[in-house]
Amino acid sequence: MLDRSLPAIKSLQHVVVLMMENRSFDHMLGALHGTNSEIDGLTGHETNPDSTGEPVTVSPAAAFQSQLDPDPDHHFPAADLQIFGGVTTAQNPNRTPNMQGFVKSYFNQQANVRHSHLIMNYFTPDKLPVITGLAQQFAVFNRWFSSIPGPTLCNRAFAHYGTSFGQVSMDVFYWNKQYKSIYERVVAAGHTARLYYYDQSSSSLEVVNLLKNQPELFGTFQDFLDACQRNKLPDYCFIEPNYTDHDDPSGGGELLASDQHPDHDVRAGEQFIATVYNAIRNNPNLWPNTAILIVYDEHGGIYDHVPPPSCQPDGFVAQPGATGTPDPFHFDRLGVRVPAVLISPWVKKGSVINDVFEHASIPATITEYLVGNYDQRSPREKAANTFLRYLTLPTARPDNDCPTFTLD
Amino acid sequence: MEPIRVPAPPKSAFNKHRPVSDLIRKQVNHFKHLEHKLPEHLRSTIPQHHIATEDDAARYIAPMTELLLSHSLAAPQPSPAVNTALKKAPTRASPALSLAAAAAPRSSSRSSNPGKKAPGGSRKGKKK
Repeated sequence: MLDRSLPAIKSLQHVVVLMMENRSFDHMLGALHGTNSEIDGLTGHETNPDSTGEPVTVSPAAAFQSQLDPDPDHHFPAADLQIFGGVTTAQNPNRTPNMQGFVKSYFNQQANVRHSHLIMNYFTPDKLPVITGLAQQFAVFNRWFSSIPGPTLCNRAFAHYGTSFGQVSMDVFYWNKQYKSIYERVVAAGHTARLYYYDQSSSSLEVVNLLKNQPELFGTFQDFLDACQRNKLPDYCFIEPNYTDHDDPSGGGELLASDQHPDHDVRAGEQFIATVYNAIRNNPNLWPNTAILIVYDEHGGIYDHVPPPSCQPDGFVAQPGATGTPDPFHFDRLGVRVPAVLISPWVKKGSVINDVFEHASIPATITEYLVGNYDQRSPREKAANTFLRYLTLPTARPDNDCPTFTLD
Repeated sequence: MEPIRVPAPPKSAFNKHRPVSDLIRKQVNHFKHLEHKLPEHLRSTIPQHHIATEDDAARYIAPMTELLLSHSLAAPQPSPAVNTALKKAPTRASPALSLAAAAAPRSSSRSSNPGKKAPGGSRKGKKK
């Protein structure tokens, strides 16, 4: 239960979640292990066998763009191979994750041995000053996993609903009225909530359910910036980055995708994260009263060394026809680890959080904070850890102890 | 604490003719799923070009998003992306427009407005 006597919680007025795209923890933050051994990143000795059986070692050679092309497969069957190294339940009913299938999986896309090795590349911190800076200055989650070993839309559903309603794919699905979205719950409890997509051309990924049925929940990223400036930020908001390179509809020029989904330039996403952070950080009325979570929806098929744990089953079953594997999926194992950083002046600098989190933790946290007792939630959400408890400092850190960013 | 500098991507990072990823293809599919349920007088306002590139997707998604938003009953409309109102797609009385299926070749010159910055970072890149 949330300790509302904590000074940070007494001050808290807003929670902001920004969900980026398709990068694993080790790929983005793994190098930080070199400067802080508490961060469960890379030693530099981690390997995966390639299609010839040769071990491929992780390499600090990740490129901003044009390296992971084609887009690494991150659908359920590919993630299964990546996590279990190609061992099927038919071969071993008691198989356990070994994280040895990433290179083999990437090889399957082009049958190019050398190219398949690129899936083991990771970024050095100097290349990602924003996400690594925030991870070092605030709190980084060692154990935030995607909710499903699969693709974007079903993972994002866990952030909105606490479940994907039995979906493991990117196909159209309709919500189960039994489980309301976190936005409905927040609004019904007398608070404010908003989903901010970048612009009309990028829109939201939550189309069939939320955008169709509750368009009043939505705003643009410009609305978010305006709300920050006018001190009108909702109690809870969720931000989606720009998903495409496109011309500004108002004729203002070119807009770069900022989601960091391969093959979009990672630097554009760094600038986007910095812009979200700066909008709050540079407003003295918001900064002491806001908690920001930066998280990624799934690993994008990219290497991570930490085996996903089992978890509370969700009450749904995806049959082999849906999983694309010989086996059903009982939503009893999490997906691959993703970067996640909690930001607030009430977070101790250099915090490393080791409890297990997943995207159902987002509605779990917001429900705990804004709604209170609420039972009509998925078993996964009820079992999920919540994150506002890590706002533990007795006083907020002074301004000169919290970073700011300047964008080129 | 000194501000941390965040480099911009180069100009060459922009490619609106990039083939759509599976993510965008699925997003478009979700919009198409809803488009097919629209009454004909609304469907006729939606572009019907082949969607192969990110630019194609953006030009389809924008009017579909506007359409879904405009059918909200009492909610205030979201602000446009860059402080100016979006131009609505013209209502087409004629049969749906059909554009070239293949992505256009990447343009060698850019007409971006250097004076105006999009919210949230990268508009155009600096030269390497």
